[in-house]
Amino acid sequence: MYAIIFIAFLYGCATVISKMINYRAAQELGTWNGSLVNYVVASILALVLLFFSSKLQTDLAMCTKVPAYLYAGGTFGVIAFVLSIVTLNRMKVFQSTILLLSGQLLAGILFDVAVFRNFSWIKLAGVLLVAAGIFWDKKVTSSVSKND
Amino acid sequence: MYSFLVLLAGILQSAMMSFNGLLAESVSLWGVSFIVHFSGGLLLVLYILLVVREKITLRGMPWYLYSAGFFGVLLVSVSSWCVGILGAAVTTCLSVAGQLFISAVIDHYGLFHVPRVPFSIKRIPCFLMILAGIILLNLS
Repeated sequence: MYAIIFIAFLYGCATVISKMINYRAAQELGTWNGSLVNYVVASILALVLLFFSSKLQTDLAMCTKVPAYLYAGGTFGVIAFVLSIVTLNRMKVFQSTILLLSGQLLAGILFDVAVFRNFSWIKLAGVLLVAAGIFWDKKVTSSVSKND
Repeated sequence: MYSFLVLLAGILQSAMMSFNGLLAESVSLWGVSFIVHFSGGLLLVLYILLVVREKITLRGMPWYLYSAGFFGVLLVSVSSWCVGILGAAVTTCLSVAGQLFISAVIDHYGLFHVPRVPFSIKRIPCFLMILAGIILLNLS
């Protein structure tokens, strides 16, 4: 349990480094083409890894068996990305970040109950405490940068 | 109205993580990553051509910036795996805590050529609160 919690934390760290690379790519090629690079290179890389992982046969066999709606993940991701870019110049970054996070946590808690059927009050308290800490920190850092 | 759209974007991100986590129960993590990036890339191409009306170019960047795709594969695979075990809400919380931590380190030391922003003491109680939350998650 400790290991996976640490991995999820590291995942967040890697997200930031990935965002910085994507930001630089967007400066070079523009917002849209810059993010498309991520999708194209990732598709090719994932396909190559799939070929070498010996999971190709089982994956192809499973592809037709899983419910079709599970394939909507990528679509949701792109819609979320386009929405966050298009709305960004109409509100403050602080506001946008908090709204994104609220939506994510709200839906996360609901999905956990509805789909994964795991819910506990201690977990909910932990999630709320982390969320409150993040909101507070965002408030502190945004007031610090305003004073400069 | 715009606030609602951003909230919707957050809900969709969470939905993506949950769906990918479910998909990973039957398909391998590389398979999930391929499906997600291929379908997403296809839609993004359509959006760029039909809505933004920009020419598609992927060449002309320094080579190391193409590592964005490497991170893309890694991040989708790892998040799908974590969501399957921890659930979407806990994974999101831990990920954001990691994001805050590494951002503070990058800002403090001015890594990646970002302007140096020294760590503010005012942020310590916020970080302690997040840590307390993570300890609670560990107990559950």
